[in-house]
Amino acid sequence: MKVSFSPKALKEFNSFEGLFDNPKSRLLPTLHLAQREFGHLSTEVIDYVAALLNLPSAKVMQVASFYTMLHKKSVGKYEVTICTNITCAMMKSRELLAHTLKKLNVKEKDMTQDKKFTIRREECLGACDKAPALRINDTYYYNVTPEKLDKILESLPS
Amino acid sequence: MKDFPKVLFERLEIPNIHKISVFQEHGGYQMAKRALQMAPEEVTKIVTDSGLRGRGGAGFPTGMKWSFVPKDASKIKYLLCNGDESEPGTFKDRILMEKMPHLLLEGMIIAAHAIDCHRAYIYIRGEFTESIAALEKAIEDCHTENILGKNIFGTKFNLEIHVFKGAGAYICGEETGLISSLEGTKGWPKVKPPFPAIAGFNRLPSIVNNVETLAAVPWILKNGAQAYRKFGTEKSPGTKLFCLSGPVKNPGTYELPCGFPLKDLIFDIGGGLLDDLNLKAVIPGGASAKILTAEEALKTTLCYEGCQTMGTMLGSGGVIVIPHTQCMVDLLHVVSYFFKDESCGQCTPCREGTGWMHKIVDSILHQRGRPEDVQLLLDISENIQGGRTICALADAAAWPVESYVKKFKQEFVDHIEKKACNLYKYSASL
Ligand SMILES: Cc1cc2nc3c(=O)[nH]c(=O)nc-3n(C[C@H](O)[C@H](O)[C@H](O)COP(=O)(O)O)c2cc1C
Ligand code: SF4
Repeated sequence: MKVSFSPKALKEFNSFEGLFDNPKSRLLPTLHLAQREFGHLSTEVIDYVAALLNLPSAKVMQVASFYTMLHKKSVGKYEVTICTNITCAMMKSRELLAHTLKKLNVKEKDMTQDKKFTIRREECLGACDKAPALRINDTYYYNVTPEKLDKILESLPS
Repeated sequence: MKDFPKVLFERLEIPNIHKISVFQEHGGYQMAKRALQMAPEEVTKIVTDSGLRGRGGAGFPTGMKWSFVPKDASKIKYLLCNGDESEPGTFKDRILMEKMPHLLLEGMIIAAHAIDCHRAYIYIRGEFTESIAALEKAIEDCHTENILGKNIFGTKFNLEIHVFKGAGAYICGEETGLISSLEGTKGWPKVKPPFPAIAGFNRLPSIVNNVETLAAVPWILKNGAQAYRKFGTEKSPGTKLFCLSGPVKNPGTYELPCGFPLKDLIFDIGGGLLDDLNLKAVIPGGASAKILTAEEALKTTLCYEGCQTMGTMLGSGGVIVIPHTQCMVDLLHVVSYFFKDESCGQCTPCREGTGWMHKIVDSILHQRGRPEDVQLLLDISENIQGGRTICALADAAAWPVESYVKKFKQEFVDHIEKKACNLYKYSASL
C-alpha cells in the first residue's frame, strides 16, 4: 500500500527545511510527523520518509528503531507507558504494570484484541515526586494505584 | 520552613509567569536587553566570575566552557540547550520549562550573544509534551515582541531558537549523543576530543548547556557575580535545584544553596520518611550516583565537593530516599536493567558489561546466585569504568553496582546462601 502525507502534513514537512543548516537534521522531526499521520512506522512509511528525504530506507529504519517512542508495529488507540524506574518501582509501579497486563489479558507491548490498549514499561518519566507515574498517549497521570488505573482505563472512549 | 535565597525560583509563584506579558511586567528580558549592549567577552566574564557550574551532571564551569568557543566570526556557532532530562530521579528542568519558559529563553539569548550564536536549539525529551508546548508558545510570543528573530530589541543581533523533540533514549542526554540525534542519526555518542565547543553540531563549534544552567544566567547578570557567590560554597557557588523523591512526606523540587545538608533536605524540608519507615540509604544525584548508607547520608552536604568527599557525586540533583524495608538486590535489579536497556551498544565493555551485570543481579534475585557472583559483579563494574568507553554511561552503570554490592554486601550474600529475603521486593520477573 502506498502512503503519502496529507496536504497539511506536507506543509509542516516543508517547514522543517528552514529549521536546520543541514537537511539531514529533518529525519527525526519527519519520523515524528509520520507517526502522527500514519499511527506507526510501517515499512511503507519508512520507504516514503526515505524517498522524501532522499535517504536509503535502511538508514531511516536504523534511526527509527533506535528510539522507544517510535513504533515499528501498530499500537492500541491508547498507549499506556508505566514508569518502572527506581522511585516508581519502590512505590509499586511494577505491581501496577503486572495488574494491568493481567486485567486486560495482554502481553507487554502487544495490542489488546479490541485494539484499544498497548501497555508497556518505560524508563524514568521525570515525575518521581508523584510516583508511581504513567502516561496515556500524551497525558501524564500521577500517584496511580491499580484501582485508579482501572477507572481511568474504563473511562476512555473506544 | 526557613526561606532560602532564590535564583531560579525567584518568580516561580507569580501567577501566569509563563506568559510573556507577565514575565515582562516582572523584569523579564531586561537582562537580555542589557547583555546585548555589552561586549560578549564581558558577559562571559561575569558568568565565569560567578563560578556557575553546569547543572547537567558534570559540573563543568559554564563561563570557561563558553570561552572555549573560537572567536572566528566567519564560523557558524550553535547553542544547544539540553532538556533531555532522563536521569532517573530527576525532574527539575521540566518545572523550569513548563512554568518559566521565558526565563530559559532569556538565559539562552544572553548565552547566544556571549558565544556569537544566531541559531540555537532546545532538545527536549519527547515525553515532555507540556514542556515542548510551553517553549514553542514562548518562542512564538517572543517573535511577536521582537525578542527573537532579526534585530532583537532594535540591535544588530539576530537569533532563532528552535525546539527539537527527542524520541525516547536516555543516551541523547549525553551531549554528543544529543548532537548525533540532532544530526539525524542514531543517538550515538562521539569520541572526545574534539569537544563540542570546537566541533559539535554539524562539526561546528557548539555549546551544550543544561536547562537549569542557562536559567541561572539572567539572575547572575542582574545581581552580579559576587552576589551569586554569596550563596553556596567556594567550590560550588550559588543555588541548585534538588528533586526529592521516595517515601517521604513532602517530595518535590526545592531550590537550595549548594552545601545544604542532605539530612535537612530529607528530614526538615522533606518532612522525613512516611510513617513507620526508617532511612536505609540515599542516592544523592540521580541513578548514576553511588549510593550512600543512612549513616553516610546524614553527614553529606549537597555540593560538588561535599558529595565527592563521601565518594559519590552531586550529579543532576536527583535525591532518592530508600526506606529500611527495601531489598537492595531488588533495587539494583531495577537500576542495572535501566543501564543495560539504555546502553547504545557502540562500546563492547558497556554493551556486554551492562548486560552481564544485569543478568547476574537477576540470577541472585531469583535464587540462582552462586557464591562467586558477588566478586564477579565487582570485577565487571571495575572493568567497564574509568574512561574505557566513548561516553560516561559505562561509568554511570558501574557505580551503582559497585556501591550497592560493597555497602550492602550481606544482602547479596544472604540472597545467594539462604535463597530468601524478607525485605520488600517485587517477586515476579519484570
Ligand atoms: C549517560 C549520560 C546522560 C546524560 N544526560 C543528561 C541529561 O539528561 N541532561 C543534561 O543536561 N545533561 C546530561 N548529561 C550531561 C551532558 O553530557 C552534558 O555534560 C551537559 O548537558 C552539559 O551541560 P552543563 O555544562 O550545563 O551541565 C548526560 C551525560 C551522560 C554521560
Ligand atoms: S559507553 Fe555505552 S552508551 Fe556510551 S557510547 Fe559506549 S556503548 Fe554507547
